[in-house]
Formats: sequence, structure tokens, C-alpha cells
Amino acid sequence: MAFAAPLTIALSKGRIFKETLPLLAHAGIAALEDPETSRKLILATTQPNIKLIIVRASDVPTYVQYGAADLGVAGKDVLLEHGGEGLYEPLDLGIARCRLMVAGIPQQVTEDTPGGSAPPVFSGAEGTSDHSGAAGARRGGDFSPDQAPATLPPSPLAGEGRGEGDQGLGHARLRIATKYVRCAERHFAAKGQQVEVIKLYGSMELAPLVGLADRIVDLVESGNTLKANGLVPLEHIVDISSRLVVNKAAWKMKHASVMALLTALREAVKQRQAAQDQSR
Amino acid sequence: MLGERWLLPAGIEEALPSQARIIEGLRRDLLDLYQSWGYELVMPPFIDYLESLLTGTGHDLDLQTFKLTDQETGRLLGVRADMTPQVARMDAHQLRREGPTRLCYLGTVLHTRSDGFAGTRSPLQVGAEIYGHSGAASELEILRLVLLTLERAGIGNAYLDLGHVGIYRGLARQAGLTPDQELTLFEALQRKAIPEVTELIAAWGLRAPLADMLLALADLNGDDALERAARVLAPAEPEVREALYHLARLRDGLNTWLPAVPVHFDLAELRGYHYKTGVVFAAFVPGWGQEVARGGRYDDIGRVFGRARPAVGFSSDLKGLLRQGQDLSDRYRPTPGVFAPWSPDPTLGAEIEALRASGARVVTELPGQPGGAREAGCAEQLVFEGGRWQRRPV
Repeated sequence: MAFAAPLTIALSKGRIFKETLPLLAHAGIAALEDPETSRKLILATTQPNIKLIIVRASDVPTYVQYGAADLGVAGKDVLLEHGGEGLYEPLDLGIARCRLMVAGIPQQVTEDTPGGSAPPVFSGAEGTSDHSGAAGARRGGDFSPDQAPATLPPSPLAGEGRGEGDQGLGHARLRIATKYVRCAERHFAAKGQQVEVIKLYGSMELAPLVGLADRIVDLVESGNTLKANGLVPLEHIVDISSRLVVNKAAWKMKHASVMALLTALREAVKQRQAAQDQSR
Repeated sequence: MLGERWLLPAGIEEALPSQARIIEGLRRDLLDLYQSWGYELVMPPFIDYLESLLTGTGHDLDLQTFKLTDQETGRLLGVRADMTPQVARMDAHQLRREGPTRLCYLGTVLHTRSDGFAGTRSPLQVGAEIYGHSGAASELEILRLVLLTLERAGIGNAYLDLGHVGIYRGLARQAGLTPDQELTLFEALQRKAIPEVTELIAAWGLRAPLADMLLALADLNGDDALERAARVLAPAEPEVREALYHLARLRDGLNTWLPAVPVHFDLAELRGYHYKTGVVFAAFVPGWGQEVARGGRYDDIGRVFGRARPAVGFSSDLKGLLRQGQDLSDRYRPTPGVFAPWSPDPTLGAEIEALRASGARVVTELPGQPGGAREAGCAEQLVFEGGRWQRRPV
């Protein structure tokens, strides 16, 4: 495969980089250096017209939106938080899978929910006109037993199901620690629950343990980190995987090259999916 | 804070002499260009009743508009975030002409938030509109004007991106989507989020051929999009096929008038979907993720002002164009100046008047000023020689 136009692809180190490489190989693109050992931030590839740039995961949409990169690979979590405006996200690469969840300390959740048996109100399919629209549609019914915390009833609506709305000071609102402020606000707003969101940049699991927050909203992969810190998953917000994102102008002006890469990646995702299905 | 009095608000710029000269030079050139095409300049007010400003454009501009209360009436006022609705009001309510009306405008608009990369909140909006004609001919004229505008601004490598809101609107209606569903799917389509589009279509239980046609929209872009669309959208209702046919006619016109300009069709890219009624277009330049000019047909914009007329137009940000185009400082050089010494001599006064009348830039010395001709940017000065004032190189 040859690319007529030069393309720059933004990737983040670590899991996304490792899992994207086999997909890029389908388009005949292999990095000439390993970002884990090299300090270079611009990597040449076996395709003279394709280069990779290494940026922070949360910066990928910005690089692509501003045209500093033509394409990129970004987690859906990053896109939901960024807003995804001014970008195309035509392909779910199905890599770096995890879930965005609400988690908390088991006992504390019980204490928090005095009258708490009111079912959570999930937004319906049409209710969310935000960017997670499709995910929102799924969210409603897909609370399968293995994902659901099972041990605990979902938290009640603030004010509702408590007999009276006024809970006095201190206990009125749940404090949610998260890196994903937009997602957290949107999730609780869709449930009709007023919360205080506390923005943190890492070690979210710590926040409930030291009394900084009542719950956290964070990515959950295996659940081991939660378990190790005595937290349990409470609510499933959205399934996360990485998407191919494309700069709008690049899509239009380097159309043939972008389409060639997109087709190759689409094929690679399909083949990998088929292989996975077979091995099951 | 005291030390930061010089600081400008985010996204608000000032233009220093060298920039202002270029901006003003281009501003005059563009207005002359539009005038030579028969477009009359109008000057809408900077501040207006909010409801007039937001009309027709739906909620798109609501968040972008600075608001304040009118102390005279208690009504809400807005600082214009887009001049198009104001110009539409002039056509519908004041001018009320029978034939086509061509209007152009140029002025600062304010945005509450910077919408995009340049980060500006005070674009210098420039645009042109044709009222009273529906059809490809007026659209073509506007598109030609877009390209001429870009060319004057030093942008020679623009791409045109064309779409038509009638295609998605027709398919959504044919599929019986609720307004909420239409909006949800629209937003996913704007991001070409094919995984989400697929999920939504499945979740709503849409069937072939409509499901296939809606899904195909995200892929119907590129130079050959119209050919593929003709096949894929064959089962669509007549309005959709008419829109495709219209785009094809427009392409033929563009081939005739602007053969060198690359044209890209995108049937899912629908800027201003809420108030546009037909063709939508945008101009892009390489390496910039956002359009440098945009426009389209919005036939009903004048209805709330008492008269719905066909309307098509474009707008752009003049300062944004200058950022994308080649450097124009050579084209808009400062006029060479003549420095006149401070003197009460009336013959000097007369000489200065004569020079100025002939178009020269004459800078007079102020008594006791530091610096002279060079500091004033003058290559010549007036010197009293042989009984009269004469121009001499500095």
C-alpha cells in the first residue's frame, strides 16, 4: 500500500500504542522505533509518507482537531470528555477496552442511602442528545448481573425516596471525585441527581478512603485496583474502546490517502474480530 | 492586577498599524469587489434586540451571543454574533423589493466563546447575500464570490465542500424519526461516528432500505460521492433525489466557472442544519481543521420579519482569512511619506496642501519634537531651496 499524501498519526504511549501497531501493520505501516525506549516524539515508519507522533492520551483530540496530526487514536473516554467537536470518529478500533463506572466504599454507600430503595432513573434512548447518545441508549437496559455490583442497591435520587428533600447540610449532595468531569456531571444529571464533582488528575481510588469524596467515576478494566482499595463498582456509565479520529480538513483534502488507511484499518478490525470469535 | 492593565480579554485582539493597514486594505478591496458585482453595502447595528438576533438561526447562536438588559425597555439586548439575521431583516422588512436584492456587509461581531482554533471572540465578519432567487444560478454566483474573496485574501489553494440539508432531512422524514431522534442521529453523523450511527439505527429498529441509506450517509463523501449517492439513495423519496440532482447541476456549473477549484461533496456534513434549507457549503485550506468561509441557502430566514424570500449567502472572518493566506504586507505597503519641517511660512502650508491633494502623505513636524523624517517613516522631506519648498530625499 502506498500513500499519496503525507499523513501524521497521533498515538499515546502504552496500551493504545501497542494495540494499534498490529492494526497499522495491515496498512503496511510499522514504526521504525519504539517509543518506550526512544525519547523521540516523532517516529518514522516503513511508509515514507506516514509518521507517528507520541502525545498524551488526553491531548490526542486536540492535536488532531488543530491539524497538528491528520489522524489519531483516542479512547472514547477522552472523546466524551473533550466533546469531540471538530473531529471525525469513523471507526471503533475495539482496542484498549474498559468501562467508565461509578465506584464507592460498600458500607459508606449503605449509610449514604437511608431510605434508599428508589430505582435509578436511566435516561431513555432519546433522552440523551449528547455525544454519548448511542451509549446512552445502551445504558438503559444493559445492566447485566455480572457488571452490576449486586451487593448494593443503586443510590437513590437526591431528595426523592428520602421522604423529604432537605437532608440538612453536609449530607445533601454526593461528592464525586473524577478525572472525567463532563461525563460524571452528565451521568448524574441524566439520573436527576445533584452532585458535587471534584476534579482530580489521578489516584481516584484514594478519594473515598480519605474522605475527599463519596464516590468516584473512573475507568475500570479488571476491577483489581478497586478491589485492592476496598471499593466496589456501583454503576456502569459507558463501555469504552479506542476510536480512530480524523481531522476534518485532512479527510477532505487528503481524501484518497485517509480512505486507504481507513479501509485497511477497518479490514484489520474485522479480521481481528473474526479471529477472536473463532477462538472463543 | 494593577500591573496587568494592558491585558486584553481572551480572544479580543487589537490591530497595530502594520496589521491595521493590511486589514483595512483588504476590507476596501473586498467591498469594491462586491460593489463591482452589484452588491450594496449595508451596516446593521452592533447591538440589537435579542429576539431579532436569534431568529431563524435557532439556538445555534444563543450561547454565542453576549446579552444585556436595555435600560429603556427592560428587554434583552444582544451584541450581534452573526450579521446574517440582521441583513435578512433589512431585506424582508425595510427594502421589500420585488427583484433579486444583493447585499454585502462587513463588521465586527462578538462571540461569548471562541469557536475554534484561532481563538478569536471578535471576528471581523464579511459576507454577501442574494435575496429573491432560488436555484443553482444564485448559489453559483455566491460560490464564485467566495473564491474571489479568498483569492484577494491571498488564499489560492482552497477546497470547496458541498452538501445539501434536503438529503438528510428527507431521509429522516421518510424514516419517521422523531425530532429528538433526528437530532441525535444528526450529531453522530456530524462526527462520522459510524459505530454510533449503526447502533442508533439498530436501536430504533429501522429497516432496509432506509437503514442502509441513513448509514451510507456517513460514507457518502469524496469526489465521486454524487455517483455513489445516485445508486445508494435510489429508493429515497423524490425530495432527496431532487437534492442530489441539484448538487449535480451545481457541480456542472462549478466545472464551468471554477474549473481549477477542487470540489468535495459530503452529504452528511450539514453546518447550520437548523436554519439552512438547501445547499450548504464551506471552503477549507490545507492543514486547517476548520472552514475559512461558509454559507448556503436559508430560504425562510426572512419569514419572522414578515416576508419569506429565497436567500443564499456566505460569510467569513476577514482576520481569519489573513491568518490563512499569504502575507499581504507587500500589497498593502505604507504610502511613502514626505516630512515637512515646523515653520510658520505660509508658502510651506500651501505646498503641503498641494502635496496632500495630489495623494501624498505629508507628516508635519511638531515644534520641539524628538526625531525627524526617518522616525516618521518618511523617505523625503521638504527643504527650502532656491526660494521655494522642494522635495528632497532624506
